Amino acid sequence: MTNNPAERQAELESDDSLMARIGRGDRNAFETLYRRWSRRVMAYAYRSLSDRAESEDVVQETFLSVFRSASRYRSRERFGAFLFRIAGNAVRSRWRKKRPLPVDCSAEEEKGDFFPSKMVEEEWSLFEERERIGAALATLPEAQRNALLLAVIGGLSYREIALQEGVSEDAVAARICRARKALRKALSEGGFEEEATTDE
Amino acid sequence: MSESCEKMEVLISKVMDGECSPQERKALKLHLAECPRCRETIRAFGRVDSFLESGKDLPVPPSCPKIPEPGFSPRFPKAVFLAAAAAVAAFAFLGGAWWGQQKATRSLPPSYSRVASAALWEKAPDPLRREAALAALPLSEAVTGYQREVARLLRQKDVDWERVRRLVEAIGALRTDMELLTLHVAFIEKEQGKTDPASAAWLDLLGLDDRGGSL
Repeated sequence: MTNNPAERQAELESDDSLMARIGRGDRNAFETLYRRWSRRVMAYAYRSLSDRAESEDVVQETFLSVFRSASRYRSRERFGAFLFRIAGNAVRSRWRKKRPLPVDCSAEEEKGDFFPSKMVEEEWSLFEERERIGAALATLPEAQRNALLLAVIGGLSYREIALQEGVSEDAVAARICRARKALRKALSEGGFEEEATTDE
Repeated sequence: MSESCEKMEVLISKVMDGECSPQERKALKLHLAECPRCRETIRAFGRVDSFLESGKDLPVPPSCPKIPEPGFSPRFPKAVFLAAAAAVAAFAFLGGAWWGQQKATRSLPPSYSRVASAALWEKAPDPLRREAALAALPLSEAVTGYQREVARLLRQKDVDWERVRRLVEAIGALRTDMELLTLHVAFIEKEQGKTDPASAAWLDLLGLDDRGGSL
């Protein structure tokens, strides 16, 4: 949190109020909004694309788009839903260009030689867990992964996701549950193919 | 896994996202009290969410993007804005020249009002607007050239009225409605011999002094 009183006040301002100021060209409001949301957009993009450089591009593209549309922005929906719709489009345009890379299982077999032997067992276990979930996430069907990320990282409601995806709220609930189950399986067993390949 | 547990997994997922109804929450609570497997599911789903949201592998976002100076409409990138202004100016200029060849009186081309708007932005602080106004300059210069030619023709002994008429129409195509009307009325009156054909009056009407002039 900043020590500047004006910046502190801006931190408490609603997203809609910040958007109104951005629409009048206020850069400070834009920076406040960026500080507030950029981590989540970055996490959403990175979990979707597994590529740091592309995720950074998505963040920049999304916020520039927010800036450009600020003067026309009307709060008919929650700002988060508006923001993640833009981010979702940016991610989707990259998905079309690049399919997820297949998971390389050979690395798993070589791990004993690859990592330092002194690594604490618990840390190693957490590392493995992250590796497995990350890999499982990459193999999830696009619709499941996107619904899960929008709910967990974006904080969107099922209704907001349903509107963006053009499906029912029940379908969103089913997609998210399937995605969680697939990732859970990766978490506990290291095997995830079975539940990750079907949708609805 | 029992059928009941499978149904409960959906409720567990929903409750984690704050999407359960009070009835669903109640049913889930009763089930969890008796099912260690579903209690483990909650913990596992929680670990998944925690990884997605705040895993240590997540990179930090880039620095805040640079945005254009205040005052510039952020809807169009600079290049598009300038290209559009230049295209409108060129279109209006060529359209005006073509229009000057036609005999019938017609309304102003819609592109002109946009060029005029660009020119009016000249006083705005934004340098891009000044550039847009500069892009419209050839139009202004074209009108000035037409005006000078009309003035020159009117100073001659035998006035080429057809050429004057076409030039005046071309000028009219590039000026405001009110100016267009004034010029046409004056032209018709002059052609019909209703007014004294004094060059000074024409120069005044066309907004020119001895040194020339512009829009």
